[in-house]
Amino acid sequence: MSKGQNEFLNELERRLAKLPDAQRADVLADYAEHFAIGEAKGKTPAAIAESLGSPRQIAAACMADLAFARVAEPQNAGSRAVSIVRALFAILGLAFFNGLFMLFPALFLASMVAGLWLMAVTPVMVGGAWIVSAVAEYGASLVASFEGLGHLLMSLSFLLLGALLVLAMALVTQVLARAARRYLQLNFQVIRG
Amino acid sequence: MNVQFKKGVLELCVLSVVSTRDRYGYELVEAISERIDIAEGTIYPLLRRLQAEGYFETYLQESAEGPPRKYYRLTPQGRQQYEAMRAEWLEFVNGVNYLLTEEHGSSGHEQGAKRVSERAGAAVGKAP
Repeated sequence: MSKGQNEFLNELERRLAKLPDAQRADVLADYAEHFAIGEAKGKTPAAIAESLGSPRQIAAACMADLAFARVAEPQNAGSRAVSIVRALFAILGLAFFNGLFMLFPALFLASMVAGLWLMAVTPVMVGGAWIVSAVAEYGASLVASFEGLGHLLMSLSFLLLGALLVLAMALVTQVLARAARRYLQLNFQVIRG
Repeated sequence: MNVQFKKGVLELCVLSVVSTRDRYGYELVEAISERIDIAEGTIYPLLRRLQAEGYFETYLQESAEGPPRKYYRLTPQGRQQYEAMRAEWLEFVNGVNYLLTEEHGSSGHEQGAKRVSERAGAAVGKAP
């Protein structure tokens, strides 16, 4: 085995460490055969490695295929969540090669959801703080005095508004998560060709 | 060319190359990369997937020069998929070609040219 071939196969093997042994051996055997035939046809190992491309990209394609197969399998909710995350990372790895196709939409969506959550949680916090300050200010006369009662009602309605927003956001998040998953699968189909 | 676009078409190209006769990996990769600029190593994962989907089956065969070679053969299911994808592709390309043809494109240019000449004529008419 020559230097270019060794380097290529070693790096590929290292990057495929997470594959089951048999599968990894299969993949490596394909490339070993490719090198052997190329050399028999008079090409240099360096030239063969050069036209094969980066082991990183090849490994990413293999891992993405594997991760996708795992998502497709029926599983319990916990390990499915883990495998979706794993698939997401595999896709993200691929996406870097494919012009950040998914990273930007994902970041945009995530920041939008985070912003909306902040908007929903703020009235709850303001309402809560208001009540605390009202109790501190009016003490026992909170319910007795007209002013104190008004203050209390205002802060309670703020709390209520916040709670409704939080409830709405929980729904929106759920819908978005479902849509994101579908988008993820669509991208898989595109990436896998 | 756009990477995503190339990847989608690559599957059809691979099916097509194997449809004429059984091929070993190196030969198949060479046939593709002769015509399409692509990192050759990325074709093997595709072959693996097409095999997993039941479109290819593989067998080993000794060769006079070098080690035994892994050959890829199209299954009946693979041939069906190839025919379907091929028809779809040809229809798509026909549509694109129509939209790109000189005839179709130049009718737009003619209209533009006409509009320009009308405007020029109007300008000339207004000129003292």
